[in-house]
Amino acid sequence: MLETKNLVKKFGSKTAVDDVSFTIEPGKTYLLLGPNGSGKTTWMKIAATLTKPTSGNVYWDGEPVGIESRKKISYMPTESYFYNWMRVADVGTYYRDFFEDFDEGKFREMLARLDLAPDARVRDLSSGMNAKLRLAAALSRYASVYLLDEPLNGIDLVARDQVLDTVIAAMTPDAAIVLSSHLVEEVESIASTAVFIRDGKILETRDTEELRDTDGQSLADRYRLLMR
Amino acid sequence: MAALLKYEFRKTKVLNLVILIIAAIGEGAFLLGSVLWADSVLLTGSIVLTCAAAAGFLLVPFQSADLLYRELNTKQSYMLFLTPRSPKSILGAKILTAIIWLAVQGVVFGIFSCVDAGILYRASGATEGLLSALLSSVGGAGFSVSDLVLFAAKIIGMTYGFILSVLMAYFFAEIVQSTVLNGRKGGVWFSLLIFVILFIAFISITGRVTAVVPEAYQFAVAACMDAACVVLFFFLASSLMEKKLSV
Repeated sequence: MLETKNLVKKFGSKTAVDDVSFTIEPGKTYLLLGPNGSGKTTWMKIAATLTKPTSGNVYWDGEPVGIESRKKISYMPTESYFYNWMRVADVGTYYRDFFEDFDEGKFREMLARLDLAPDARVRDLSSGMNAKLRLAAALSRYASVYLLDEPLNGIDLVARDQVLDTVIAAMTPDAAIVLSSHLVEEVESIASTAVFIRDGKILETRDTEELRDTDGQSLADRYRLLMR
Repeated sequence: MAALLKYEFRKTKVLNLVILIIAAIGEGAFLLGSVLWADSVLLTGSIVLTCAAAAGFLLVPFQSADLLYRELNTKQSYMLFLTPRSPKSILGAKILTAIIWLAVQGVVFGIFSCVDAGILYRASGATEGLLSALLSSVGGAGFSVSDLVLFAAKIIGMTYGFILSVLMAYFFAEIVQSTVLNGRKGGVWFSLLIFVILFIAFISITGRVTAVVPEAYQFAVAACMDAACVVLFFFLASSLMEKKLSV
């Protein structure tokens, strides 16, 4: 469904994504694992059509990602991006106005689950609260692919469970979730496939259960081994 | 498009409403001054109205350009570029918002100036002879009120066409800048440099073209050049956004 073919992205002389190819299939939860600067965010931004590739591309249902794929792919960026004048509830209205698959009821439920007051001003939110709001907005769509870039960034230890529970609740058999994180141990339990990335290249793609059963390794063990 | 327009108006409404409120206060002062025969109040009202009109026509395009610059160079760009809307719609909504605000201000200031001119005309006890003399001083002998209206419409049309072509060229310059620099420092100056080059080229081409057409057609030719500039830069800018722009 979401296919990456020979994707290359260069920023000047630096290659952020280096000839990457892999496929995201429905019903699975993918974990993009790699150190800072490994190319996780760049890949997500290209898949979300915010960044243009240097060569190769990401394809949605056989077509290069573009306006049509934005209707099916829900992206949670790692940075705050809402307008400063917005209140939390305005974010829901904005998503309702632009995305046909957005469910306002689901959004309200998520706000309650994540302890976000609808009348709070976006500019007054802490980074953790802002991350929760971005997550709520992205997961309140009935998308085919959810791209969640570092959803645990800025979230305190107690609230991380809250966030992960929210992600688990959003899992459906016909949707794929792609999570990027460097907090490997925290997200290990929800991943079905792990994609290890370093220096813009995919080192390995592994089924997490198979990794545990055949190699007897946790994702964290494997991560340490590969990133050494 | 409707949703994009809704948020473009939301983003630009404060400044425009402030200008319109100041204009309303100025008009109130002018009317009060004319009723009370208080020259200082009437003069204050006129100055406030003139300043508000000038500020409106200058600040609407400036605000639009500033807003696009911020949206191209900050993370707020995601609010636009994550939505399933084409660059043409995004850019179209921005230019349409500027057109509508300029039109609203034009209508409001047009009504105010007609009312004020009528009041002054009546209050001064002017005769038809004086009116004819005033009209002649604007457009020569035989210049009528309908000629004056036509003349004013031409001037307003030329001003609007010029403002829109300049704004669209500036949008294009900002999009080129954002595509090349991708949020790096010096973006404002780079945009300005591209714009100045485009502006000089545009003025030079318009000047040369209008110089070779008969005077009677110069207005129409200049209007067509402005429209062509808006259309050309709109398509160039939206195409660049679609194919090359990373935010």
